[in-house]
Amino acid sequence: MEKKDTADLENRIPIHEVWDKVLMLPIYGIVDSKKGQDIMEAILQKVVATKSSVIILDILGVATVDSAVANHLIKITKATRLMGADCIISGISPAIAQTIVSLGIELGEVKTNATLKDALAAAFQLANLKIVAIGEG
Amino acid sequence: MTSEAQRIEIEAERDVRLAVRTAVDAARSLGFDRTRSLMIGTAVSELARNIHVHACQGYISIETSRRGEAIGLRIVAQDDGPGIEDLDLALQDHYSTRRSLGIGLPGTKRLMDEFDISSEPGKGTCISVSKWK
Repeated sequence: MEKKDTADLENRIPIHEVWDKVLMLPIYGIVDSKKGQDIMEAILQKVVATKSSVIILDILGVATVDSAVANHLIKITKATRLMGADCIISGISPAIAQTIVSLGIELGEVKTNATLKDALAAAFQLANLKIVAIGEG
Repeated sequence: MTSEAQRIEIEAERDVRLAVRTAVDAARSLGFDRTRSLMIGTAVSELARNIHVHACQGYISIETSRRGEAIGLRIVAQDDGPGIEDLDLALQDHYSTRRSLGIGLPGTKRLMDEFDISSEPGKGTCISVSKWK
């Protein structure tokens, strides 16, 4: 039963292992309390299974970040940190950034990046990895 | 002066989603830009979620409002829930009865241009907000 639940969760919340110990989860649509809880559960299980040290949550596809969604994101970040993994939130559009500020959400120590590209660079750095161009140019 | 009110009954979480989508669509079609439409949608999300969490049942109504030359969007959130005992406290940042962030109501006030609230313990709560173009 527990095994079936885990497989079901992996299907609903697929998390990419983009590199050794680096995970990435794109979040789409509306994050309600059920989805928030599922994301938390799926991430923590995947962090354990892959012994990951960094996880990127890309929220570019999230419809709205209200205080409840922000609360989920902050809790996920805290929980992953307790397990020894850093969490980076990427895909913060200008509209989302201004809305978060107006709403008065304090993200505190949550690491954020505008783009997934920046978040990946930060994640590689956290995982002590370096991207090097091959040859000239 | 107002016109074409859309009313969404809030009974389940999916109704919160519907209210947010309806508000964002209404804002966009009135000509609000992306950021301000998102702010309106986020305010509706807070109001609708409050109804769902605290009152179980209520409605959100969304309508165009005009005042002289000005045009805007007016949203009313009405429920027959337990009401709010202390409005001043509820409008303070970081006050929550449910271990949430406690910025829903004060945040909604900051996202919108106008904010009116009336609440009677045991009777319900009515919040009216507007944003002008």
